[in-house]
Amino acid sequence: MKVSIDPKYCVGHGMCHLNAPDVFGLDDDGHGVALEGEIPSALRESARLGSESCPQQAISIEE
Amino acid sequence: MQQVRTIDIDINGEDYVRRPLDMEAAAREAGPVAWTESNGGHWMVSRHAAVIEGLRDADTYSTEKFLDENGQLAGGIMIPTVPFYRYLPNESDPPAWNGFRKSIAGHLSPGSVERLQPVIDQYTAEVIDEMIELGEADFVMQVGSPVTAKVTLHLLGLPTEDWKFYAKPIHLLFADGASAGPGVAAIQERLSSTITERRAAPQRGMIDDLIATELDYGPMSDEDVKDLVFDVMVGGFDTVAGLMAGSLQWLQDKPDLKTRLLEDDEFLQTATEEFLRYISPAVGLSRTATTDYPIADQQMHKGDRMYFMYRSANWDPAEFDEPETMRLDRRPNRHVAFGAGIHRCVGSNLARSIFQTVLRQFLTRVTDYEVVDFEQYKMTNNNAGFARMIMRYTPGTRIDSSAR
Ligand code: HEM
Ligand code: SF4
Repeated sequence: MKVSIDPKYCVGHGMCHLNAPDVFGLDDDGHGVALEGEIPSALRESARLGSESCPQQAISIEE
Repeated sequence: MQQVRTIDIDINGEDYVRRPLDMEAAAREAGPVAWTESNGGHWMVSRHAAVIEGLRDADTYSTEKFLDENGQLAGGIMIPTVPFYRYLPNESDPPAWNGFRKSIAGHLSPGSVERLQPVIDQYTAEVIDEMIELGEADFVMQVGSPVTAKVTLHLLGLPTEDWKFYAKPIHLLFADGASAGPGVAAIQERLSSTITERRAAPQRGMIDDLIATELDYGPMSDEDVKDLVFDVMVGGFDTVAGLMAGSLQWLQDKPDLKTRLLEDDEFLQTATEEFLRYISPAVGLSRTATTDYPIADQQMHKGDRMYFMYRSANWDPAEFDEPETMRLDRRPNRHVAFGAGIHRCVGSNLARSIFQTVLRQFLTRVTDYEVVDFEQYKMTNNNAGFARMIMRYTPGTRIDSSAR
């Protein structure tokens, strides 16, 4: 599984980080930064929760 | 495309003031987007998915004010258009918006707010000291508004002892409807003269950084600084106060939840989002379509006014299971209480920190409060909150935060 944030839509709600801090961080402006590369299986549930919680639907998941 | 779906709702009407939640439910039931003829005619974007869809692409809508073909002022974030003052960055479009937003965003980022935490703690303690011995107080103007105002003024680099000069007129702006009284004019004048003084003799506050900002086309004008500072004040004071007041009112007879909020950090986080969703201090704001584009099954046309209904979206059963039930552990919680798209609240980090700090300190120090009287804002289509919320409680003792 891989996750990515579309910078065109991310406006820094920070909800991804709030709901899944182990997968999503925030940069200095509060925009989401996703964990790079393959998401370890232990974090997949968290990645899904984080991406679902984005109000902009800016996060996509590649299974 | 379907034919135009219409609905008969006057967002400035008596009915909407009296039964806002019913009217919003009716709008959602009619469809994701519907047209109303009232207030000059505008779309009502009521469902969660439609609000996000409609605000995602920044180039499809404008928040700027302009003169229409009859020479009348039009556009902006309110329906009908409010002539008094411009809110920045709220009433600007890209590319100008980019520079304005950037000039304030750094001061309100998660990192900046974290550094401000000791200040938030201190003003909260001081403000509670001022009311704790009284046994009865108006939470809105004796706790919620002053803490938010003092923290904001501190951040801006303006004298915090002047908080009432700013907070009272802004409170009236919300409580009595969108009429800008003499108090707001006085704020504008004071800001203008302060900016002139500070351009000549800079100090060290956010206002000085704004004055020194270089935009793509040159230095930031005094007028722009004033409009930015005014937006930061209006954006924060009463919205945060209303969120706190509504939350404490709901919590007053729930001792177990109060205890858990004090002990469980993660619960406090999810609860904050749920209070935001349920209370939705920002009810709805407007845009003008810049192009023909669809939202859900309806076609917007260039020049159409659109009212984006944040509270309605937050109560949409298609997105939230049992939206009328407050579930403090709700997750995920994709509320749009801070709006959506590029204008989405730049103060949200500060709002959350102030809210959480006050909630915890207040619940710790004022353990037995009871709301004995309250009055909601007269107008409800832009903001939800309280003209006042009188609480009675066993008097406590000061902790003399001035010594710190
Ligand atoms: C619970 C408290 C708050 C709520 C519910 C709230 C809500 C909102 C909403 C819905 C918007 C979008 C406006 C639109 O759609 O046109 C917004 C924008 C904004 N808010 Fe807040 N706000 C809160 C607190 C604050 C605070 C504390 C500040 C200041 C420090 C602030 C400053 C702003 C500014 C400057 C904008 C305009 C941003 C832009 O246009 O890019 N807000 N807020
Ligand atoms: S929740 Fe969405 S919009 Fe917010 S920071 Fe994360 S990716 Fe960006």
